[in-house]
Amino acid sequence: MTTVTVERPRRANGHVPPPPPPTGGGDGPDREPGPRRPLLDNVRLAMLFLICGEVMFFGGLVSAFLVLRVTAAQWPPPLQPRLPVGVTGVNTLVLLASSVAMAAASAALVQRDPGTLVRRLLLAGGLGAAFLLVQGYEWIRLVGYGLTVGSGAYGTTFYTVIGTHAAHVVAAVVWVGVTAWLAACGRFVDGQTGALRACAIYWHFVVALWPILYVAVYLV
Amino acid sequence: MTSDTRNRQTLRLLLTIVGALIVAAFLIGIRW
Repeated sequence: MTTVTVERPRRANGHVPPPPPPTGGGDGPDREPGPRRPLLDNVRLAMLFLICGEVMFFGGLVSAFLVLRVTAAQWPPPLQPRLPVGVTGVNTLVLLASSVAMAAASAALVQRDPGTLVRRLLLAGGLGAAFLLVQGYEWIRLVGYGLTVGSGAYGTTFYTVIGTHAAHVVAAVVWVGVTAWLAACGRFVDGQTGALRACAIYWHFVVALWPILYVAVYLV
Repeated sequence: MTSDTRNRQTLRLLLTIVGALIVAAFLIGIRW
């Protein structure tokens, strides 16, 4: 077996300079990710697959809602309750705050601080649960005012679009709860953080989706 | 080929498919 050695020119003092550090790759297709080019690992790719599917799914729902909304003679229909814009607006801020808490949890993960990580995960999950509680309360009030799934296109589209998002928030809250429990068991201290990063990506997606739905359903 | 490069190729394919579906949906919507 032969090894190839590259001769480096000696300095004036006779020493051979050390080899240059790895640069992170050249411009070829096999280059390593540079500092400004985040690594696209399997976890991120899998979550992007999921998010692309979700985007198309919600795109279809919102498109159907807007088609029915535009073609309706009057919206909301007569004798149907108005949607709670103010309370839901405040609730939107609660959900956005949960995304900040999740970002802080990711920062705690980088700093290898498991205690803070668990606390911030629980805070994010708690804010998500608060969002769901307020949504549920508003739904009960709307049903009391007569807005049900059978109340024509108005009720059907509202409960379908908002309910589908609420189901996603429920899934995200459960996921964060399980992730926080794993973190409390010391799961992510060994650097294997794929499950937590996937959870954070999903959480940010669910939160980012809500303002779009809020504007489309409540404000337009 | 590194995992990162392979994943980026897959992502490009995914975005191409999603883009084609969005264009197709738009065209069908215009027809509708």
